[in-house]
Amino acid sequence: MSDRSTITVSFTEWPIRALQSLDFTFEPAGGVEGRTGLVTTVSPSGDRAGLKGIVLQRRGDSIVLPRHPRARQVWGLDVVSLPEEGTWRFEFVVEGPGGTSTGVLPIQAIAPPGPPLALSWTIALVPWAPVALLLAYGWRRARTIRRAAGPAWSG
Amino acid sequence: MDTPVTAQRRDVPRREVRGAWFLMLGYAVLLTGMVWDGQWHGDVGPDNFWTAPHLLLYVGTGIIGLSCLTVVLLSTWARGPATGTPSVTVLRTFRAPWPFLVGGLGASGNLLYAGSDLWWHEVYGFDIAAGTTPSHFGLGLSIQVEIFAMVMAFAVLRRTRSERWGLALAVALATIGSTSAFGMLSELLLAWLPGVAPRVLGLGAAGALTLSLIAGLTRGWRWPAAAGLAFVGVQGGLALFAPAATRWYAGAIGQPMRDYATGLPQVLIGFPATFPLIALVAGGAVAFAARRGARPLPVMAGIGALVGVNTAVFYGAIGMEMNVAATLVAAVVIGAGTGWLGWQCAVMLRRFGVRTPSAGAVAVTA
Repeated sequence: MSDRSTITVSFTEWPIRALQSLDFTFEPAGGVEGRTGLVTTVSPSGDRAGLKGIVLQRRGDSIVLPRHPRARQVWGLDVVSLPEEGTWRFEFVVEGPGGTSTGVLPIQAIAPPGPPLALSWTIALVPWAPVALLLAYGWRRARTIRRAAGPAWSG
Repeated sequence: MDTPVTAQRRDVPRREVRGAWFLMLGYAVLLTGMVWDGQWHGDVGPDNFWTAPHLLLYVGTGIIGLSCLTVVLLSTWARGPATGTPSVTVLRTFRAPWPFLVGGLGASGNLLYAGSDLWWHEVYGFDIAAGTTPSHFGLGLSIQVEIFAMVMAFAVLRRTRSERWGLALAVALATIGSTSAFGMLSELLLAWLPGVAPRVLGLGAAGALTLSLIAGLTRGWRWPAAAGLAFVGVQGGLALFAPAATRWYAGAIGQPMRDYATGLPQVLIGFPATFPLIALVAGGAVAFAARRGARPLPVMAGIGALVGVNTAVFYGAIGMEMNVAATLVAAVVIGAGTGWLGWQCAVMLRRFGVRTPSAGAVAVTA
């Protein structure tokens, strides 16, 4: 960090794969009490708010680090994933009684696990193709019903 | 207009009447689980296959699937006159009334996609913020099929006051429940529209469809308004339940609440809380149009457009990122289109409540 203080970043999965969720914890030297931690997660394509999460408090693009829900003595992000493969940049700002420190951590996200996404999507969508065809066919066949009903409130 | 003709009340087999109420019970349990699950992720967090909200999802799906299976089996074995509800013979053996065939297929799809979702989470982890995944998309669409089955089952009934209130409640549940599939579909299909918040379009379409459906099914001003009232009950009930159940469950399993957890009921912004006002206006519009003899289709398109405007204004007001003008225009177009579609679907669904001439009964609908 800028003033030679340290922040320890831990991961529940290693190596980090794109799209695979994990927990991060962040522990500044001296603990989190009385300090505010901010992290800006910059994606490989340059999106400065690249990490989405539930109930994240933001200050501009930065995430105001919450305590980890199951490790309350440190800051943490639980079950988040890095959506893009490549090198991410985590830019830290820690505000404390001794002033503000900053630091940058490059994080490499390797290829996502599992089969190619296009294949997963195709398998998930294929069962709906006959449903769509049936609906279109039914809609055409029911044309006479719709026409016969006539444009009235009492029909 | 919407006064029932009771002198020649249509016969609907008791198994289908009970089946419809069980379908609704199952879906209500499922929806409660879904809303609670969302609140849990926001306020507390940890996820696995066996959380209490997930169990409600599975129980609800189980009730829907077993109800449909039971009705199909009872219809197959039944003696006496055939049901007037349009039915199909499946595998040359099973006699399946359409609403229960659709509901059974939806529940089966739900279970299959739940299995694939389990695999997905094993490979990718329990990412609660990854956006739409293939398995969640399939789950959402399957649940939407179950929702349509519930509405179809009550579209067949509509004979007594309690059955019409059942339809109003089904429409209210369907409106809130459709946020999932309609939200995902619109985000996948309409994200290319510049400046437009796709979710607004999906939710606007869902509200326009359900409101137009109930107006078209009942042809009276009271029931769109009743659906609005039922919506207040459903959304209000879930808004009271989900945060309280989340706090209780977190305490029971020793989980702390998240830093920055709001504890506010998410369901209030899951679908515009102002929707019931539009339902009331829709009731008024139907009454006015019927008295003036205005053509229903343009009126329904107008009501749909109003639902679209309401959705865009609501989400704009709570800070959803959008170009307000572009989103309003798109929401009006989509809302009008689905309002029109809802009436057309209602025309066809009303046939479900009418006996075919070969069955030898007189069609008596209100």
